[in-house]
Amino acid sequence: MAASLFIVFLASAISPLLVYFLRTRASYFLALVPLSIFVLYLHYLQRLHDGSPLLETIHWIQSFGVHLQFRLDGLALLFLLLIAGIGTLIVLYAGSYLAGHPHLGRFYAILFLFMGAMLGLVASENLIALFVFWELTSLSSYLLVGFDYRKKEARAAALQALLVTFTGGQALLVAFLILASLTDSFSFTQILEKKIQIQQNPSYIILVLLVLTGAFTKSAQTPFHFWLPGAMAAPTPVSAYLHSATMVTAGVFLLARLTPLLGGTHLWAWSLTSFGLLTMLTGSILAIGQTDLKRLLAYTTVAALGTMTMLLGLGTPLAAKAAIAFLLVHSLYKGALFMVAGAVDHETHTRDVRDLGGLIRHMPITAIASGLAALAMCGVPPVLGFISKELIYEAKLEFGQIGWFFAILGVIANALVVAVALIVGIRPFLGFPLHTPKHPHEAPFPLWFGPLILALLGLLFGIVPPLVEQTIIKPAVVAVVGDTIKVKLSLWHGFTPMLVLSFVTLLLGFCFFRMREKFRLARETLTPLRYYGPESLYSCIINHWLPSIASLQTRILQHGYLRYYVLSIIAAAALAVAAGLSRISLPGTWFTWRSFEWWEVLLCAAIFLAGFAAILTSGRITSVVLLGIIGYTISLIFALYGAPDLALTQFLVETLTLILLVLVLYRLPKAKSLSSKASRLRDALLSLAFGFAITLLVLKSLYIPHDTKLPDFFVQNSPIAQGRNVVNVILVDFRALDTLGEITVLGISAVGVWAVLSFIRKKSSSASASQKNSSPASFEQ
Amino acid sequence: MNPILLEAVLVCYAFLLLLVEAFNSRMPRRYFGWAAVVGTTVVFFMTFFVDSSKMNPEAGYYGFYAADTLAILFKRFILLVSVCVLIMAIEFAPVLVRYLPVEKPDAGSGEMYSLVLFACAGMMWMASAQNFVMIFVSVELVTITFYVMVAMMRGNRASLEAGIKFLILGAIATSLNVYGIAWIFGTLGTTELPEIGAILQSIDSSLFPSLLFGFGLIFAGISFKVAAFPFQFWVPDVYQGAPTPVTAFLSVGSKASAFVVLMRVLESMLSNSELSSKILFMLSLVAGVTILMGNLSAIPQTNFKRLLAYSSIAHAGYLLMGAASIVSGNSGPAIAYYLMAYLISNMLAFGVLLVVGKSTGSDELVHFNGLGKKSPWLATALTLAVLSLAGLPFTVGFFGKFFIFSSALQAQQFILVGIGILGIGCGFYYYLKVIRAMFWLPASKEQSISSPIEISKPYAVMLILLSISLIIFGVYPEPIFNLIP
Repeated sequence: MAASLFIVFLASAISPLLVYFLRTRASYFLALVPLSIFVLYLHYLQRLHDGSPLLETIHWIQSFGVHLQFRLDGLALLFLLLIAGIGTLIVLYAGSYLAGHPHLGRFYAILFLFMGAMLGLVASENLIALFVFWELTSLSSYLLVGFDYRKKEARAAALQALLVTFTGGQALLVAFLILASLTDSFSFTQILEKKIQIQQNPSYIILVLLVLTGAFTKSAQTPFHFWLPGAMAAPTPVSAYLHSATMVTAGVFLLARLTPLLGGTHLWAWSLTSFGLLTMLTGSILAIGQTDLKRLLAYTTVAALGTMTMLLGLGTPLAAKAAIAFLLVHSLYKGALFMVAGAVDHETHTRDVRDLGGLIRHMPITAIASGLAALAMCGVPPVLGFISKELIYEAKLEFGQIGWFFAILGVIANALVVAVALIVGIRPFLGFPLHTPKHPHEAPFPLWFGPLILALLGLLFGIVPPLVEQTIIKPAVVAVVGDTIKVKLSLWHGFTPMLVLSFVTLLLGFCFFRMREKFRLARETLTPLRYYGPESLYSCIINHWLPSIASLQTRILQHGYLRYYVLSIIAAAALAVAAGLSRISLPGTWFTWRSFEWWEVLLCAAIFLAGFAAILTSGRITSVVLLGIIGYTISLIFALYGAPDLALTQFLVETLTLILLVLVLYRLPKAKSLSSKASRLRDALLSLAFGFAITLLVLKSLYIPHDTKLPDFFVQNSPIAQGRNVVNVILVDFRALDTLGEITVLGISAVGVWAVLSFIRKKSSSASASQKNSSPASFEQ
Repeated sequence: MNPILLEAVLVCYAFLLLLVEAFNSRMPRRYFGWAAVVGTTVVFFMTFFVDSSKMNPEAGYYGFYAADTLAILFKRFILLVSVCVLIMAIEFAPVLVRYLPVEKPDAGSGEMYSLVLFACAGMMWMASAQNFVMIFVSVELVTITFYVMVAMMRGNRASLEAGIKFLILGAIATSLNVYGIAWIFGTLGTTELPEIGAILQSIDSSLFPSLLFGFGLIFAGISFKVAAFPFQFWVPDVYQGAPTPVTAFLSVGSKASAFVVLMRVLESMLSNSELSSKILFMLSLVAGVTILMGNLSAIPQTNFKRLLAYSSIAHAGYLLMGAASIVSGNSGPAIAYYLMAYLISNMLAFGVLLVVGKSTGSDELVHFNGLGKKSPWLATALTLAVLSLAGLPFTVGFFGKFFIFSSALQAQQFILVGIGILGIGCGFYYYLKVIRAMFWLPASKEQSISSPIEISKPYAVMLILLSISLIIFGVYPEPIFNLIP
């Protein structure tokens, strides 16, 4: 498995070179790569008879238990064969379809990247590897859909598909991580062993929701279905490959893969069944009114994916069998029809079904391929499509009354699909030739070869069902349901309710086909309803809500004003302190009334007065001086309470700061009153809150038990240092080196101040005009 | 070799460079840059020969300085960052000189290189710090050096404004930090982290309020360094205004060393589950808001440097998410790996930004239009970088996110993981905007006729090495993982 992945990625790397040298012929060589892989896995089919999966391990990140493990069971092999087989045809097809395109090499590089990712995805045993490949398919499909990057719609569609599938991918990653945290393993086999434990865990619901988000986004289930029709902006080979058989079925694959693990509960069954039915109806109803070949096909793909999801939700072995058979049939006919649509577009330069008619005269082989594929899509005997449709009805009818309800909904949806099959696959080739932008000829060989092969295979499997029933379908069903079951496909079961339903479907489908003009009209009148659909919600979120929330949030928080930054930080700090203080109670003795000395009252009054004056004054220097008064008063308090040295320090520091500030502020222009009353009030409240919080904090700090190791040490050892004032001893003795350092720092900053001062003096004396330059730069942006 | 020699050698070398630079005016200044690169590289190789058993348990520094594998790992990390920053600074010198009001064309650009070395030494000390005093001193060495470096382009208003904002907000953070340390010391009587851990094991719950104040204030200080809410305000303005190499240094080196400090402080606290659960709740709260805030704010940005600033806030959020999940044993390695991934991707992004900004004279996203055509290799490198920042598989950033998220899930942080997923979703939005500009939008007329961007050979080698390691470690992260303790 690793070898085949390596070859595909190698092909991705060398394809630009190959195209550069060989031009279009390169496609024949490149097609050999998927072909050889296809043959290889055909060979593997025989080794699967006992039903146990083949495992292969390559160590990757040992420390986190992430290994590149591959699991080849029936389900993986079915997908591997589809990916490689259809891939071969697509590589050939693209060579002709994009012949002469300047970026053909790049196209192949991305296509092989996608192919490798898809092969790795379906064969992954390790969930993380699966996720990585899953994201890689999203990424490469983004590049493929946006291949015509000059077209705005292609870019928008690519981005839409990417964002939708990536969102799902992230949900999936979380689901896998939850699984891993529940089971301590990323390996699917080991996780499967702990199935009961997982299903009984309370996080099971979240797990299912996350997995469903991942699978539904990828497989375009309602309400995420809208990206798939949009992605039709991709070149047709891409649609034929990604949007019929491979990428969109990855979600179905995931559901099938996880059914043994998560399935069997009401939650799983009901959510899959109901979303599947809803998608089936949405897809088929939206399809019928379309006129573009590819969009018609895209919506029926949505319907088909819904059908598969619903069948997996039913969960019985019969339903699983029906789902797998339908998956195979759908891949064959949808791939073929997409390629036919591309060939028609290539030959006529239009994809509007209203402009197409009578093409069988010019393109007979394409017409045969198209007709056979359309018959499969309708479910007409003896094509395999008929058998799968019978199986689907049979699986539904197993459920009694509710089964009949499902079956009737199914008949309506299928009838609509039949009508679309007639519109897309049959109608353009019959009737009168209409005028088209380009006169049609038979398409070149690679353009009809692929669809013809796929359509013929559908016919062959229908006539000789044993070719697939035991070899491909049965192992896949076993991998989903978990035990061995009888798989028998046949065209004729006798007269059964299923047969009746099938014929009703065909009849009703033909009626719908005749009424197609009415449906188109209805679609046009109902178009305004799109405004309420999920797509407009998506575009609203992406284009309006997200940017406006984001910019609003940025405007509020990151406006560029330093003062508000400081303000926010102070507010946050006050809030945090307050939150902490709310749980603290001060002891009742924190304040006791006693008579104050007159100088205490005086000092307090001085501090208060100076503080208020500093707030109210408009002059910068005045306010600095007033703040200085507060500082001096505090140093007086120190002096009066017996710490003259501390008072002296405070006095000196205060003086130095004052001088420095005055020196700087002197050169600034006068403060203007810029703030409004409201903002002043806000600032005042905030300052009060912060000051209050800090005051409480300081009060509180007096009442918590302190560690007294250090003070005791200093008090005891001060006499040894020949001093009685502990603070002095600390400064000049115990921490003498610190003091030296501080003196040095002070000295250096003094030198710095002196340098700045002399620089200013030189400057102002040399040119008086330069004074303007030293006016303050605005702090705002 | 005694581990403390590493920083000692680096600082002495930086002083030597500074002095030679001051007294020699003839030598071209970029020689000093290369000399600094050589010195840093030598110290980087010295880290492979250190032996922590050589440290003298009797020596005064012993309790301050840890030389465990974590410290050595981060010292190497910081040295690598510094080498990148120095190479970027050499490339950036012509722009820097343009904004210096000096007479001689080359003068004034030489101090930058020694400043980078000083900051580097400070960060290395931070990686080893296991005492609050040591933490404070080393953090201040880094911060004060950055004050100078941010305002280095003295003739540029944006740079000066950034410097002032950084200085004032930084001073607030410093004061909170030191106040917190005082509370812790007052309550526990020690500043040594291992000792604090031991004391906390059996501590009376009546001390909790004051401890919470202390740790809360210290985390406020650290939040400033890592750019977490509500201390992220400086980030966009300072990142945008600072010279680009300094911005890169701030975003990677400064953040990484702050996270080592955070992890060490958290570890010391884990011994008391009651206290740590409170602190971790606070951290989770901060992480969630930071992720949302960073990612949302990045969306409307039109300046690439500012966009990277917000993305760096978002990444700080993810890293904090890992830190808040420390109860799961994996979060330490996850954070270390994330930082490695962030180093590679962010350095690459800033590396391309620098040369594009140098040639167009602006960091606006508009000037990246059409880069895919004009300089396909630069555009490819930048694509890799932003994809990795967005966390796409097969890039080194993917595993960073993966490890963080899985450790968060192990710690049952489901809400936080949900927020993280939202953030990643937003991330795709704005990271893809860069790719769109380069490959989809056409360049304006005067840009498309301008000559292709020229870069020096060593610079190109650096970009190539970063790009290659981004891919290699994105596919096979085991080598980095083996380095992490």
